[in-house]
Order: sequence, then structure tokens, then C-alpha cells
Amino acid sequence: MVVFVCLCVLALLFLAPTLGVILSSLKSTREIAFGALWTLPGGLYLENFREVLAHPSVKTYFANTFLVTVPATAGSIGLGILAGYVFSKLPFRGSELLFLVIVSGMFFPPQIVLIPLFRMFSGLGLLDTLWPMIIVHVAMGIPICTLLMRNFFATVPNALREAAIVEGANEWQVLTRVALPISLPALAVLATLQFTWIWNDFLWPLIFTQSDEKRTIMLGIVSLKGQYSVAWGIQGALSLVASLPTLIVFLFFQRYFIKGMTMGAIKG
Amino acid sequence: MAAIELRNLSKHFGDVPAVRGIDLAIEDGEFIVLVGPSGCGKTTTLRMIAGLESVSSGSISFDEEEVNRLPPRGRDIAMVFQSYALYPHMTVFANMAFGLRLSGVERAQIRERVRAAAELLNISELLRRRPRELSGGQRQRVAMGRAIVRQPRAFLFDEPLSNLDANLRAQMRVEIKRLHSQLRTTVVYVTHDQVEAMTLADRIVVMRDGVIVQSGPPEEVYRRPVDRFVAGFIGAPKMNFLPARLVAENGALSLQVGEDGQAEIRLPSSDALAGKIGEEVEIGLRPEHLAMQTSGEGIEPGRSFPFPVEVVEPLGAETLVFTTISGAEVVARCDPGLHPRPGDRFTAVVDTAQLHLIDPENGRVLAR
Repeated sequence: MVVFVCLCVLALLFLAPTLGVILSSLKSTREIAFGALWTLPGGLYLENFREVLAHPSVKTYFANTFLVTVPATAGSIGLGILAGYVFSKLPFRGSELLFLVIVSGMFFPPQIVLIPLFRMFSGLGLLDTLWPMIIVHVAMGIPICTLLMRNFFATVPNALREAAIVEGANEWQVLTRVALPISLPALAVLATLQFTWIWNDFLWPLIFTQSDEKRTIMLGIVSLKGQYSVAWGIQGALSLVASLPTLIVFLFFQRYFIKGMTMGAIKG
Repeated sequence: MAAIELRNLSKHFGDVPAVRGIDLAIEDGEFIVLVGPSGCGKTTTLRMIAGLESVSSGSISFDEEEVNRLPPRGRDIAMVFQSYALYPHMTVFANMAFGLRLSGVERAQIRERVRAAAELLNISELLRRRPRELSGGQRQRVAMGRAIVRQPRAFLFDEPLSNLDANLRAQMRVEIKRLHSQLRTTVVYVTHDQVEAMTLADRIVVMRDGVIVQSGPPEEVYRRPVDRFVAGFIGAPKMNFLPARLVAENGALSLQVGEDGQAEIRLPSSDALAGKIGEEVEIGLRPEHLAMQTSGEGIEPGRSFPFPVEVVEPLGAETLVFTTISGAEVVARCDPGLHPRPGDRFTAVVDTAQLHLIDPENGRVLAR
């Protein structure tokens, strides 16, 4: 019973901000200004959503975010697959150490490389483009992708690889035709995690972009706050619209997700 | 089909030798079984033939062409794994067609070859299923089908029946033998099960500690083992080993069995044993070469010893009876009609023509 109550309280704590955003997105600025943030809206007020969807910059924000998220997700997972396969199935002298070095990248906070990266991309003339965000997210995604894929490939029996090799497959064919198709749960977990993480990123776009044309959706939410007052309703509406793609990705992969999160926990 | 020759073949894992300079010539179409206890080097040898393990020294030849540096796909062999190694995401058809597709075989031909192999193995109705929907025996058939469709030069089997229950194993043994008689392709088969070795092989190769101890037709290995290890490994129940002393009286050789010479077994004269008179030897005697009798009457002297029954194992067609002589457990096959019970005092009549004398120092068989 105590556990149940604790879980309910925790769920409420997690859901409260989302509820607040939903409620404020359905109210006018005037209604919110009167201090009615947590009350139910007087009517079905959809003007905030209309304004957000009609706003010319929002389309740009979405496009930019997709242009960063999709290649960065694909890139980090692709490299994680290759590295994970090698570390798992084709070990070489020093590979254990190299694996530890790569995985240790997860434990460095991104803030410590902010200034060096800013200077580097500035030197390369890439500031205020989408490239720094793509490159940084690919690089920062490699440790977790490598770790997860290596651990998953380790559960793929060696006999499968050997059977394919005896049948005439090369390593690339073993990876693409045998190992990857049976690694869909791991790929689903990675795709969901990476997509959500990159889509929701605020820090790197803040550092590497300056113009409104290069902003991603999370920066866009802030930029819609208004010049003289905070546009709670519009920001709430955009927040909800902005979270739709990650929700769709999660729903698409969720049948694999739980299986993937618990994979390797038990034998067989 | 291919003749396979191993010359002075060795494999080391670091400082640990797994296979130590073995020589073996496998004839085209021959069914060879590598048998031995865990760690004897049989699987390593098979994996070197497949190209899955590199060769430390020596050579492997297929039809007199050295293949040491040839990758597995260049050797044109097919392998059936202990765990079946079926691709779980593919249907049975796709599993069987995988190698052919990689080789670029035309679709129509793939369909025809898979269909023919499926018919041969009686798995035609399973082609659309996935491995998880199959029983152990069906998976085993699919694994064999995957090997057959490729029409390789040689089949390599790595303990393929060890995951099956006893009934299915017996059934699959017959099927493998039937397949070999139909296809006549060279087979190298690894097992630690001596029954599989005896029933399947044209020739058994017994390995221990990375070397070949004996190689020959099953009957020969069973009847004429070269040493105590082979004698004890091949045969179920295993051969009995009894301590004895070789003595000579008036030119006649005999064995005094047991520490106090509780029984005497007479032997024909033998030059091979001349140097061992007065010394300790070990008697090797298969359970079927001890005939149980309820009384000692009418038995020629020097051919029997008392057999107080301690344990009885009825197997249906026969019954195994156990006793202990000088600390050594002795088992004999017994006619169930005798209705043996623990406590019975039988007389064991020795078939002296089938008796093996073993040198206890080096385990070599001195005479038979």
C-alpha cells in the first residue's frame, strides 16, 4: 500500500508539469494572466495551436530539428553498430582497453568541451550551421550506442556467425543479414533514446546557432516568449507540438522497447 | 566430394596445445567419426578443417590441394553445429536458401534444391515456419537440410545430436546414416558419444589430449583397442578392468585375479607375455564376455570366478549385474531369465579368447 501511494505521488509529480503545459496551452494569455494556470479552461480555446502552426518560424524550427536529429541518430547508431560488432565478435589485441576508452566518453559532462568545440567549429567556419550539432551528437552518441550494441551482439551466439561464414558470408554480410536483423530490440531502444535525446537538446543549439533560421525547436520555444510578456499559452502549445515526434517514435518502437531494456538480464 | 588429409596438424591456444601433430587421411566419401572426451581436440580439429580456426603448424589438404590459408567460403564445406545455429529471423526456407543466395544461385534452382532437400529430410511442410516454431528434432533436420542443399564437398558435424533426447537421437542416427548412404559425401563427425561413433562411422578416430590414440573400423576399435583408454572409452557399459598377477606353472600361463588370488584364469601360451611373468597386469574384459551361471558345476577349471551380485539393472532385453572384485567394479550382461537379485551368488564364466591383458604402467594392451 505504501509503495502504491509512493508511486502515485511520484507519477503525479512527473505528470504535473505536463498537465500544466496542457492546461496553459488551452487558455488565452489573459486567462493565464489572471492566475488561472492550474484551473480547467473556460472553453475549448485552440487559438494558441493555430498561432503556433501558422507561425512561419515554427516550420523552420521543425525542419532544422529533423535535419539534425535524423542524421545524428542514424550516424551514432551506425557507428555504434560497427564498433559494437567488432568489439563483440572480432576482438583484437587491446580491444578491451579501447572499448573502455570509448565507453568512458559517457562519463564526461558536455560542458567541459563547450569552449574547445565552440572554438573549433568557429575556426572551421561552421558556427550558425546545423553541422556542429550533427557532428557533436554523433560523437557523443557513440559511447552509449557502442556499449548497447556490443552487449547485444555478445548475446548473439557465435555459432550463427560461424554458420554464415561457412556458408560463404563475409563479415559485412554476417552483420547485415544475420546479426542486425536479430538485434531489432537493441536498435529500437537506441533509436528511441538517441532520437529523444537529440530532438530535445537545448544546450548545443544554444551554443552553435545565432540566427533564427538555424534554430531548432527547443530554442524556438524560448524565442516565442514574446518581447514584453511571457506567452505561456503559445509556448505551451508549441511544447506539446514539439513533443509529438518523440512520442510517435516511442509508440512506433515501444513493442521492442521494454524487451530491449531488459535484454541480457537473464540467460536464454 | 573430397578426400581430406591432415598432415602433422597442430593447434595451440597461447601456450596450451589443443591438437598435437595429428596425421589422418580421410577417403573420398568416407564417414569418419572423431570421438574422445571433452578437451581431447576433436572439435578443434573439425574447426580447423572448416577454416574456423587457424592452423598452428602442419597442413590440411582437400583433394591434395592445401587449404590452410583458404577461408571457409573457399573450402566448399557445410557444417552442422551442436546448437543447430539456425537464423532465428528467417523461415526454414530462407535458412536453407541462405548459402545458395550468397553464392548467387538462380532463384528457380534455389527453390528446386531446397524442395529436394526438404523432401529428403521430410520437412517440406515446415518451410514457411521459423526456427522457434520447430521442435528440437525438426530444427536438427533443418540444420542438416541447410547443409545438404549446398551440395558441398564434405559435411562437418559438430556433436549435432547432443541436444536431443535419447529416442530422437537414435532416430536421427539412423537418418544420418541413411543420408550418407544416399549422398556418399565425405563426412567428418565429432562426438563424445561412443554409441554414435560405433553406429555411424566407417572409421572411428579416438582422440585424447590432442593426439590420435587409435583409428580404425568400429568393430576393430571395439575388439582390438590399443590401450586401456580406448578399451574403456569405447563400449557401453564400459570394459571391466581387474587387477591380476601373471603366473606360470609348468609352462602354463594363468592369471591370479584379486589381491589374494581369489580366482585363477588360465591363458594360452604367449611369447608376448614372456617378460611379464610374475608381474602385476590388468585384465580388460567386456561385460558380454562374462557369462553368468547360477552354479559352478560343469565349468572347466581356470575359466571362472565367483560373482556375488550387489546391484541389478534390468534393461528389458538384458539385465546388468554389478559386483566388486578387489576394489574394482565389475559389470556383466545377464540373461533376464535368471532373475538376478542383489545377494545372489553367481559364477562368472570368462570368455578367455576375448580377454585383454593391459600393462598397468603404460596402459598399453599386451595381448588379447
